[in-house]
Amino acid sequence: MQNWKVEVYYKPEVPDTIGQGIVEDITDLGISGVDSVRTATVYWIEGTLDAEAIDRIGMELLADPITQVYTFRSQSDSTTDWTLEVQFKPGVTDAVGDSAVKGIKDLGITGVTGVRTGHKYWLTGNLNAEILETIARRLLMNDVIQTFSYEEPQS
Amino acid sequence: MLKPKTLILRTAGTNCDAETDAAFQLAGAETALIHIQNLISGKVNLNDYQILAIPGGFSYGDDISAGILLAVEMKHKLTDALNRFVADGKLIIGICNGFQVLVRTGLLPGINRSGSDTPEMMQQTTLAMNTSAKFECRWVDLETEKSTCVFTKGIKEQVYLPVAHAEGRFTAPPDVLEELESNKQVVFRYAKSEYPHNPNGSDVNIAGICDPTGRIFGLMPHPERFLMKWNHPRWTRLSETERTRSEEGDGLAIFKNAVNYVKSHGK
Repeated sequence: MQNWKVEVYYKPEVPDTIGQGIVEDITDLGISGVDSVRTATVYWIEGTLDAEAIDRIGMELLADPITQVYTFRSQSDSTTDWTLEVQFKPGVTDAVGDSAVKGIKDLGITGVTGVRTGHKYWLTGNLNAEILETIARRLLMNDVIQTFSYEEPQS
Repeated sequence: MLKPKTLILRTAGTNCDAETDAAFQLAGAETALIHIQNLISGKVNLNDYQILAIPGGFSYGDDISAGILLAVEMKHKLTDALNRFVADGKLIIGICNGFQVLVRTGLLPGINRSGSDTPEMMQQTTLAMNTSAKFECRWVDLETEKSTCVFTKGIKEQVYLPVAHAEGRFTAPPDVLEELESNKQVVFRYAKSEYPHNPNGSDVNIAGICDPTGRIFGLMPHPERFLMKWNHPRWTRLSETERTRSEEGDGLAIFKNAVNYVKSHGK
């Protein structure tokens, strides 16, 4: 049993309209100083799947080949941005995750036991842990069904 | 000739099937609303039909991205039936979510790069999130291009139809866009490039395209929502001449063209 984490995000030349909208929403919260937000959809895939299968899933199901890219190898986020991840609490139904399982099976790939989804955000600007927590709690998550975690920028 | 048989594909989340059914019936087709499971199980044979319509809606909740799950299902569970349907020169129309499905299967634009007889099923273009980052529901003016599309043969130069989508921004690499133009595969454009006339920010205002043969057609606007003059959002306020000009809405001609094509080609 091995769990994989696949991140899907827009190519650099494609506008991340959701991220741009979040910048405006943060301003509406009364928080200034956030310069940019980039977003990714995260898929945690559980089961007995090899890297080749995960690569196919990323290419044929999860990422749009024209506008998006995906990564799936475990890599540490060495980034100068703040990163924030939102995911469902255990036991909460994840409809998109369940749909992803169907899609993976339709591709003819066996061995998947479950998929959980979440969102990842990279933020730049004048931020600190307190501001990040406010943005997460008031804008990007629902505390009843979701949890969040964040990482400070790596220098 | 008997009425051409049209299969209107349904699955979880399809929601424009009744209107699409009405459109093809008004156009003179015999129709059947068929759930995809009945095709996969073999209970219904796709190739007993002459026209396949993939209606609008939110198939599988638009999870992951709009249309991808139905596209994967069709590509991998109906491969042989679909290949045969296309090779026999039959007609396929995808409206809104159906267009997203056709683009993600690669049936549209279906530019053949390998020279093989069967469709390549490789995604070459996409329908991305609208530039407004929200769902756009509005009536738009469309310009009909001189294309190879059999569905729009002889129809008006200016057409008025509603759009209702969040992922409708047609975009493609520059070489594919060039090929679409030179192959005359661009069928409809939004009449103006500014928002909200171009409601989603599509490249070169593209609203609908066909495959190189003109027999597979996909568009974001909903022709099945303008079948009769009373569907026009301002029909009571139109001038007397405009109101009495025709009982038909702008969308009906698309379905009539499909039916007439099948009748004249005996597919």
